[in-house]
Amino acid sequence: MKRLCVIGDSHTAALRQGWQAIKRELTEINITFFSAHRTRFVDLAVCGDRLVPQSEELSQLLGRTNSEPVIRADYDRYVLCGLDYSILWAMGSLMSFRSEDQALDNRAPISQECYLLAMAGLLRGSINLQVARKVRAIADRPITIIPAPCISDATELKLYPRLEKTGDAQKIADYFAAASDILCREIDAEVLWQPAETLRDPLRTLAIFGKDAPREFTDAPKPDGWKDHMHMNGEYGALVLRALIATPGL
Amino acid sequence: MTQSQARNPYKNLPPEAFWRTAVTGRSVETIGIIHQPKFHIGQETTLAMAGSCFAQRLLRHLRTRGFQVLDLEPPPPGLTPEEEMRFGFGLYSARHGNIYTARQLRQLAEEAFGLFTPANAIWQKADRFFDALRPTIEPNGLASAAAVKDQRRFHLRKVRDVITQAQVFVFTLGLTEAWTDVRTGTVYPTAPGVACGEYDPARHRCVNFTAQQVRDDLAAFLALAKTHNPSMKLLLTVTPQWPVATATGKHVLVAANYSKAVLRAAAGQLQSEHRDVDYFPSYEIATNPVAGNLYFQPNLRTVTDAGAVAAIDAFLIAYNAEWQIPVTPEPQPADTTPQADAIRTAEDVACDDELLETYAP
Repeated sequence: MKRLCVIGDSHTAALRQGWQAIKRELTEINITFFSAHRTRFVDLAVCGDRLVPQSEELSQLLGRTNSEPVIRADYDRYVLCGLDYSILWAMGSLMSFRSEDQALDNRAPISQECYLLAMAGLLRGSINLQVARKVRAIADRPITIIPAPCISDATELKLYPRLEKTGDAQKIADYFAAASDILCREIDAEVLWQPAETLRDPLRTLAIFGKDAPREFTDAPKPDGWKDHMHMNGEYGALVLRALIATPGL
Repeated sequence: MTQSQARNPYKNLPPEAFWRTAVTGRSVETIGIIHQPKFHIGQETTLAMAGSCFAQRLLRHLRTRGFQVLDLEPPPPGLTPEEEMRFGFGLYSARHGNIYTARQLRQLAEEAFGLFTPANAIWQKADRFFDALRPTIEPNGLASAAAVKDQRRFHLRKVRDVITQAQVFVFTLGLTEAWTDVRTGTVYPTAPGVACGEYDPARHRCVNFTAQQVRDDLAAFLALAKTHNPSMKLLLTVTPQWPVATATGKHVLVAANYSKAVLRAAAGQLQSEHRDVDYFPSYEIATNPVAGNLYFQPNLRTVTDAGAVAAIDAFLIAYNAEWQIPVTPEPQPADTTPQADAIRTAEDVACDDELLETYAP
């Protein structure tokens, strides 16, 4: 039996739903989920060989599905899901900039070296990497980072077709991968890339995987007409988990 | 009538007119209050800053104290302070790197407004390409000449914006010596071959600008800026830092003093000619005899933080009547965290001319 600890934000919902669908086939795997709003994870502290919530709110969130809201050091693998680690977040933060190899437009041109350093720096500061460093402080077991999914291609933003047309979409995805390589070497982790069959192009997820996406937290009201293009459904989650379980060591 | 009762033009001058009372009798803490400014600079004033590396320190201190210094080419998020500096971000109001000479400033403004096209503006080092007019802002260069041109087009747009938006343009004069392309007169901030490029004695020559040339270049810059921003004021300073090296063939001390005299004279002349031009004596504050070498690091060339602070405090007292120097906080134990180290590293400044140290015997 391999014991997995999944720590994540709202994107954990897809994994949890996917797990419900496939867990009967995978009897040698046990997964414990710890999820909370990503900003709350700043309250997670290293206490000896455990990660312990330092706020009542985080304690309640992590305790919803577990008998105790404490993350121990004895899992076989730690899986960090979302928590700002996404191509969407990284490219959005760098929206005003383009590396020299991207298409000419009004964005500020910077060298490829500078663009990569900036993207790595952004991701290094993500909640995901902050939690990863805390996990690394208590355990030397493998850490897998699952980036939040690419935005659904149901989005009406015209940016994405343009980036795909100019070839910048692939370049941005390549920078994301290169930055991830740097960071994974720093903390001895690996990234599980979004399954190819879920992608329309390097920056967008096929809309079918966003249909009926479950909500992890229902406490945040959304405005009328709000469409969720960020979260994916259990089918997506199952594909990701199958890919995870297929990795060496599991 | 005795000699002491006779009328003479010095008789009723204030204490600050006399060396004995204004210098000999002053402490290092009060010697800095020596300037009567022409205009006010408030925290709401839009400042632009350019010049030699001492200007970077003035800029940083002004920003820290809540003054509005334009930054129209901000860094991408995610870089560390050290990386920002390495890529030329945040040093000045635009990403032009150090502007050591008045000619370089004039040239940049004229290029930004389409009045000048630099020659031989792209330098190479191995298979990498560099902007010869700001060769250190991309320390490892770019992949193509086209990418350099693209970056420069963007940069020039921002330089135009800086000139048109600034209420006060602060320029720190750094050097009189510069390397030029002999055929066109294009001035470079560093000698070809130092950071990149290739030195060709037939094509590149070191010039040493005269006071008249410096004054004329500043006047030309001012005139051009005022056609686009009529109310802009120009505030000149001369860097107190000494140059790393000279290519004049003279002893560096002789060459450096010539340079300071030229820059000071040109700034003073322009100040006296224009109501909207002022000169702030940061050079005089840092090099004044009362301070001795107090404001210089052990290399006797670089101004210490205390020197920069003395200059900026005097600057604020002079230009901002409401400004009060904050009470010096109790000394705190040194912060030795990696973050503090990063901040300390960023307190350094980017000086292209320090590359010349590499060539010292």
